[in-house]
Amino acid sequence: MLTDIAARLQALFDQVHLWCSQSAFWSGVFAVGWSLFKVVLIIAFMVVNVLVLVWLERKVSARIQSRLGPMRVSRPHGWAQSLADMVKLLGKEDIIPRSADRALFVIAPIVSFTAALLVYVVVPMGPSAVVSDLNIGMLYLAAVTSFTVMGVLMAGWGSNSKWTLLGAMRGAASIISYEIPMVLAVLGVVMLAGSLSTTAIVQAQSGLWNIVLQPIGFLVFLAALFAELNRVPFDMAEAESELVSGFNTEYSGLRFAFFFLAEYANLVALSAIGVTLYFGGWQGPVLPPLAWFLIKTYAFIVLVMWIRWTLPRVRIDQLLSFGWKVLLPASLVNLAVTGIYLLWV
Amino acid sequence: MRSLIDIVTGFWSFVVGLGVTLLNALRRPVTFQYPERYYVPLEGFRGYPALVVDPDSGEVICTGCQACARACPLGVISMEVAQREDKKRYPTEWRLDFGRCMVCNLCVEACPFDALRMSPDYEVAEYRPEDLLYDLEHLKLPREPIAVSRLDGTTVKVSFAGGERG
Repeated sequence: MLTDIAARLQALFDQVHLWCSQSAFWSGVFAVGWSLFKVVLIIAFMVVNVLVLVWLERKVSARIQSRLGPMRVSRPHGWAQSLADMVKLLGKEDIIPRSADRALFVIAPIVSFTAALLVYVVVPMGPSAVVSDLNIGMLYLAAVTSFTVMGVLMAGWGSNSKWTLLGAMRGAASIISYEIPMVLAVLGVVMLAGSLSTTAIVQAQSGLWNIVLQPIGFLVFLAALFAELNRVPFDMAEAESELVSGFNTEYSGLRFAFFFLAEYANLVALSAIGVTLYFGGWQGPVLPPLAWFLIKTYAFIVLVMWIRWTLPRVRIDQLLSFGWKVLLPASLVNLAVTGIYLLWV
Repeated sequence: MRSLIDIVTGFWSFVVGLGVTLLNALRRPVTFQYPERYYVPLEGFRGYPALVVDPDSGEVICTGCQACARACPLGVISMEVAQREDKKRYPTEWRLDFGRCMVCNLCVEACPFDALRMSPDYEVAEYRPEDLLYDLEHLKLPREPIAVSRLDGTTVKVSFAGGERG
């Protein structure tokens, strides 16, 4: 039944492709349309995942704190809570502070959101289910994940408020310092696979997952992930007990929703990257690749949430000294050991 | 070397922390959904002060001695007293301004006849402040477990908080 529908869709797609390739104009239209379709697909995947994740996060935190969590909005277990929240956010007044830098203030959420969106381009969800299998996939990733800090800084500066600026400055400091150990940790995986392409990295793990070969690299990656995602214990940009709400203090309504969306979309994206790098990506027995990819990604996300609700926030100086004095040497040692292993073993 | 030990012990404490949160996550939640399940107050729960009813006569034990009214720091208790043929005094009217009451239990402690107790009833919200002026009928509480009416119309049996006093 399902394969039948897939085959019919494939046939239809082939026909349209063939018809469009007859003229330069229509093949151009086809290319643009196909790209747009992919973008819409990614955004849909992202939004659905974010809605599930916001609910999941509240449930996980509730269970860890021996509470029930959202229960009221629809049975079972208030699954429609995030839908209701989203509708509520859309109805909120959109406020731009009078002293804010309007242009930056308006652009910042879009930049954040786009940065999150861009990561999905190289996430392999199956043997051929990747938007674009770039041969410099990991380099692209390292570049694109840094864009998040642009959104944070723009929001912090553009709001023209002391809390947002402090949050943005700290966020930038933490993201930039943790980017380096993260990339160095990822480099170990790249050396093992012999390629920067995410698809090739997954294929290189068909025998043994990288978590077994790169335990230190994985721990460094995991620690840096929290700084990259602005999550407790490294949520310097938000720090709600110190900075009201950090960089997004002045935002409300739809613009705030965009930051929220970007935050959780980043969580999905970086968890997917973590699964790709260290847990064999979409590979697994019996079930289809996409199912394995989703199972592993969600397991990784639950791990991240579990850690987030276990640890308290660190101070900014502790954060930076941990990044430079522990993570950076550890990732360098990991890199050296991997190099020695590849050369002589 | 010291910093290496710090890293290892720090990592170990992180693992222990994860274990603690995991154990909590696997436990049954201690909270429950309130209107669906009624919270039965424990001993010593302090609701508004209520007048204990003698199970034999069906009348309040209160003799109208004003000890509670004098003990009340806010002066929210007032009563009118009459005398029966056998010279026993009894209150004809007993008023508690619950809106101003701070539920301090001093009136209950002052009562020489054990005629006042703190009620286990906590669903006392009203729409108008004047509804918080409780009269004699409102404050009557029998000694045995009482049926507390719920918001959804059902009733729950609740025994006196504090139990018997020695």
